[in-house]
This record gives sequence, structure tokens and C-alpha cells, in this order.
Amino acid sequence: VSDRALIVRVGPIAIALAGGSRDLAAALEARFGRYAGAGEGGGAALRIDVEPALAEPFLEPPAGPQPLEVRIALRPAGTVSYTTRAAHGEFERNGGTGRLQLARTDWEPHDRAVENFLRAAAAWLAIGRGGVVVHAASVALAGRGYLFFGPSGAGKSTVCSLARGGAVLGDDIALVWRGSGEDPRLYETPFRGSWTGPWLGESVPLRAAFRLVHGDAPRRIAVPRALGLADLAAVLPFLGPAYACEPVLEHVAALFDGVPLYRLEFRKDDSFWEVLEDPGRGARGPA
Amino acid sequence: VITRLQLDLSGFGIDLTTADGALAEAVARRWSGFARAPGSPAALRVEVEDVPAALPEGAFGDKSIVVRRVGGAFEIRMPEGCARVGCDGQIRIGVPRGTVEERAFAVDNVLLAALALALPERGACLLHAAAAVIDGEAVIFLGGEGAGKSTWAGHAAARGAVVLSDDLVFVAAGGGAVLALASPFRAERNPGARSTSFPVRAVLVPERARAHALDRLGVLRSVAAVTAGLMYECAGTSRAARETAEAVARAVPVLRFRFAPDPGWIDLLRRARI
Repeated sequence: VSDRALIVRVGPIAIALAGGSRDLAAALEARFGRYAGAGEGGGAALRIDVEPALAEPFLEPPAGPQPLEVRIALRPAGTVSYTTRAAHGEFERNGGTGRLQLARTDWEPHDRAVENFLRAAAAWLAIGRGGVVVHAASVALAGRGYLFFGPSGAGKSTVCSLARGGAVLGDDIALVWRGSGEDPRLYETPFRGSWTGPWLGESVPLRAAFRLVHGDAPRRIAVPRALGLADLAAVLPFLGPAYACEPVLEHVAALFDGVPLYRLEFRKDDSFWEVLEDPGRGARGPA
Repeated sequence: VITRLQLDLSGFGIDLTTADGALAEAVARRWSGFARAPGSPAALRVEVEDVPAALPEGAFGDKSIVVRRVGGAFEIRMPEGCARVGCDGQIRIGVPRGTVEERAFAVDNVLLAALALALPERGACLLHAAAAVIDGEAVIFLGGEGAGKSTWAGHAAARGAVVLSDDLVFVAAGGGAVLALASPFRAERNPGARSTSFPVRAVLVPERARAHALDRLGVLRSVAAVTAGLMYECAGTSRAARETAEAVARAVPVLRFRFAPDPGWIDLLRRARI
């Protein structure tokens, strides 16, 4: 039995995938770029055994176009169960081992199904270890990281496409991580939406986080801390059942301590750069 | 027999070696205003080698370039050839077989990309911009295809300014000074080009408009605009290039330039208190 595995790194978290076909491993390596590679998996926080793709689909197909249906449940033993139409798996929520079955379906490519599972696993591992996975775009400029978040359609991809000159660390899934005694940092993650720019292999100090709001002029709006944290809590993916067992909100509040939280009204040009560090003309305080 | 050319890119010494004597002569002609005094040190050492392939048909029309980071080095692949840029200042360029002029042109293009990645470690970056010298100071007009660089450079030339290039310019930032470097690259408008540099008065970020106007940009937007002007995917692959662009943006005024198609901007720029 070989211990060789595909190691996927999400910031300081390593997840080892054992088993799975060569084609799947190649597709994942292409997908995750510099963040995936063969290894022994000794230091991985989580080791997932990937079983051959033989099962029938795990959920009925959706009735119409809608976001991917993901069912997450927390078992009493501390195991997280994850089910989509194309994948079913489970993993120990604080790390250890897990397994993943793929369905014999072309409804979703296997590498994408594995990525979605890894996103969920990373979200749980992060919340237990000093970090958080956020559904957000992240851009670095002048050595500082800026986090832009909001529900689908809020403008994450748009901000990335307008951020010419900034370094896009991610357009969909961001990792914020605070090492002991350090300020929080924003990491490039292997999980991308439609962004295809080069991999940077970098992390930067997190300077500020912005809830995106459409507007007709760029404007940075200060919000009460509780509202800012509530905005953030709304964009933590996959963690629904975690609220029952983890002090998620307290954890996020501690993680973002010292990081300003704003709403950012923006229009479709690069003028938003002008207000990230400065409220801009016509700025107003909390409503 | 190895030929060694001692070149000076307006302050950055380059030694270029090749076993192809005819190619060396062609490169030396292109760099005729940029010879270095014998014995002075070189920051970069360039070796030109053959790679076993013919230049592809229509290669020079294809602007595709792939830059990869391998450890501390960069690997460049483009239709004209390839290069490996080490962090120690060692650059190896491979060009395919072809006529001497084709090969000299290929060396120029690959060397340009290699310099764009090697010089940021040494305090200079390559911007996609036109640059003109007005009253002894360089003004840089940022912009990609269609931004108006040639039009703008034409205005500057018509008013007697020296146009360093209407397409790209090396800018060095260090010790508080920002300098635009004369170079032999895309310097058709500067026929007597020779090794020299000029302090930068302003960087212009153009927008087409009916009337000229200048507004100073905020710090982040300035840094973003200059960084976006880096050539050859440097913004995506080279942290040093981004840091150099940031140093430029912080040290000189970056102005949004609403620009109409007439040379009146030169007077506006002269009057502007920036």
C-alpha cells in the first residue's frame, strides 16, 4: 500500500487525498496549480480516502437552474457529513481522517465535485484552528490585503476585473488566518470562481473588509461593528451546523479584531481604489 | 569564438555573450548608443544560445508570452524564443535559427521581457507607456493598445520634446529619485538615443475627453494604475516589480489626464502645480 497522496494546501492547512484515479489527480493538479502536488501526506490536517466513482447520484437533480445543493450535517461523534448530487463524504471536524465517494454521473465534473468537498472541509478545519473561510474576493495592493464580500451578484467578480494593478488573491473563496500572536493575514486559496490570472503564492496582512453594495459613486461607509460582523457571518459557507457546537461568531469577532469592517458602494470602474483608505466625497456615517 | 558586448542601459550594465559573431554585430548596431566603458561592472550577464527550432511562421505578430516562476528564477516562453532569468543576474536566452536580422530582432524581444523581470530586483521596472522629455524632465503617459500613446508622443515631438519611446519605458526608483531611462527598445522616435536618464515629473493616466484636464489621483489608485502598467505579466509574477511600481507611484505625482487630440496639454502640464 502506497502512502503517496495528492496534497492540497489551503493557507496553512494541508489536506491529503488518497486513492482516486490518475485522471482525477491530474485534473485536480491542473485546477489547483501551485497548491496541489503529490506527497506523503504525513503533515496533513486531514486525510481523505477517495473511493472509485461507482455510486448512483446521491441527490435528485434540481427542478430548475439553481445553486449547487449541498447538505451538511454534524454527527454526534464530531463527524461532518457532506452530500451533493455528485459527491458524498464525511470528515472529522477537527481534522484526522475522512472519505469521499463520487457518483457515476456527468452532472458535475469529478474535479469540481472534489473541490466543493474540499471547500467545505477547509471551512471546518479553519474555524477550529484560528482562521475562517469566507465567500469573498480578495485583492492585494501595496502589500495590504482587502477583502470584498457579499451574496452572489454583489460584485465580487466585478471588483476583481476592475482591480487592475491590484493582485487578485481570489475571486470566490478567501482564507483569513491569524497565527498565534500575529495580525490576521489574507491568503490566496486554490479555490477560484472564474478568475484565471497567474497564481501568486502569497499572503498579505488583512487591512480591511468591505461588504459590496452597488452605488453610483464610490463611497466607503462605516457601519456599527455588530452589523459588520453580521454581514460577514452571512458569507461563511458550509458552516451551518457549526453554530451548534462552535462559538463561530465570537471566533470571527476575535479573528477580525482590529480589522475595520465597512460597506463599500461602488460603480463599475476602478475609482473604488480612491475610497478604500479614505471615505471619499459625500461619505456618511451609519444610517 | 565567443563575442562579448558591454552594454549600458542608462545606468544598468549588461554583458551579452554569444558564439554567433554576425548576431553580435547586429545586436551591437541596435545598441550603438548604449555601449559601456570597458572595465565597468555589469549588473546582468546575458548568454545567447541557439534553440533547435525554426522561428514559427508569423511569430512576430503573436504577442503571446508565458512567464513562470521556478524557485527564485523566471522562465519566459514567447514565439521568438525563451529565457531563464536567475536571481543572480544571470540571463540565458534561447533563440531559434533564422536570418541574422530575424535572430537579432528575437534577441531584442526576448531580452526586453527578461529585463522586465530582472531589473525590478535592482530597482527599475518596465512600463507600457510613452515617455517624453519636456523642460528637462520626463513625463510618462501610461496606456495599453489604443490609449493614445503614439498620438501623444506625436504632439510632444511636434513641440520639440525628445520622445524616449512611444510604447515602453524603463523607470528606476531609488534614493528618493525616479528616473526614466533612455533605451534602444521601441525608440524609433529617438534616433540619436544614447545612454542617459531623466527625472520623472509626472505619470499620466489617460482618459479620452473633449478638453484637457489633470487631477491628482489618490495613493491607492496611483499605485494600482502604475502597477497595471507593468509589462509582461510582471504584476502577476514578480513581487519585486509590484514593489518597484509602488515606489514609483508614491514618489512622483500620478495624474488622471483627460486628453483631447491636440498638443494643448503641454501648456497645461507646464502650468500645473504638481
